[in-house]
Amino acid sequence: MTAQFLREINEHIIDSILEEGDDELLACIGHYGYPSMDEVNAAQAMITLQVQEKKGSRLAQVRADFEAYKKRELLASSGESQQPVSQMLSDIVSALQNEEGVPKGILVAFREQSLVSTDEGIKEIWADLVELGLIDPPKTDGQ
Amino acid sequence: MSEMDSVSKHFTQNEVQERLEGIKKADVVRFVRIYESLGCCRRTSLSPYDVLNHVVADALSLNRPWPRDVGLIPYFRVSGRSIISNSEGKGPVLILKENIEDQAIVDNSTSPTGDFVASAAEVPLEKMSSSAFVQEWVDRVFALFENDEDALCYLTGKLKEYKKGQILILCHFSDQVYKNVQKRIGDKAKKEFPKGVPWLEAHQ
Repeated sequence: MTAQFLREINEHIIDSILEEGDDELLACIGHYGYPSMDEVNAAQAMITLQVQEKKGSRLAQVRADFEAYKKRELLASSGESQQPVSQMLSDIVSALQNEEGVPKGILVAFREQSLVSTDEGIKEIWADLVELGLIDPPKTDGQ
Repeated sequence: MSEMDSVSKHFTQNEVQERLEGIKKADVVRFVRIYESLGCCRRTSLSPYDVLNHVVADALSLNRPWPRDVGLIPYFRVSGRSIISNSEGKGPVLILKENIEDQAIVDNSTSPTGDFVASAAEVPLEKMSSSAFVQEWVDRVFALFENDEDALCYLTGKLKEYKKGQILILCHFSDQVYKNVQKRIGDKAKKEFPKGVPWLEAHQ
């Protein structure tokens, strides 16, 4: 139980630490019980690095989302919305069977991807193959 | 809790980033001193800088939601305490479990709401530091206030695990005197024991 007593003393110490002003704390850097300036700088740099990395990964995600959005818009304007899913599936099968015209790596990747059986998944694969030029998009009205 | 409710109660990722970018050198010193006083090195294998990085990572990932009404320093104090407490038992030096947590900012894995909550869960002490070790430090604290009658009365009450009301009666304190005594004890103990009072014996 006396350990709890000592812990309460530490809480009082922490309350006292929190009452110290910035100038008072900065003046104590390097003293016994306080971090050195190198340690403070390193800790601050680590915080900045973590924030920058987080920002970088969020930016990459936003860019990827935007690219996906652009692709959807592009394909919608090139007639994807008018293409029935059954026709898309047929196009995909034809494209993936064309082993001579498709690089092997791409073929393997798309065969794995084609395990997706939802309409949205099929549309996505179809759109990717159109973008790669492995499927000719249907011509829209007026083209 | 819906996502919208969470956004209204907690800072968003962008807002958390802004607050972290505003951390000053003096804040770093504060946090390091707090984590040392909480006994991070003795209770866990974490240095105060490890704890600091952990708090930052949890804040950025929103794993430990940051309530809008909680300031930078309280957030880092409570989160750091929670991380130290949760790390007990995972480090090579740990032999004692946290028994009182005044407040905790909990992570999403343990709280569906992610709220700033009070936890009164008391975990029995599993193993104790040697009584001689603890007694030595209790004696050192008392010795520090040997000429301060009010402080000695307060400390005696605390040692007997009296609540505030009981100490007020025992020591004939007003609320203000009670606070003044607490502050005096904190200030003097901080000066004498800059890294806090060890209550857990270090084991190699």
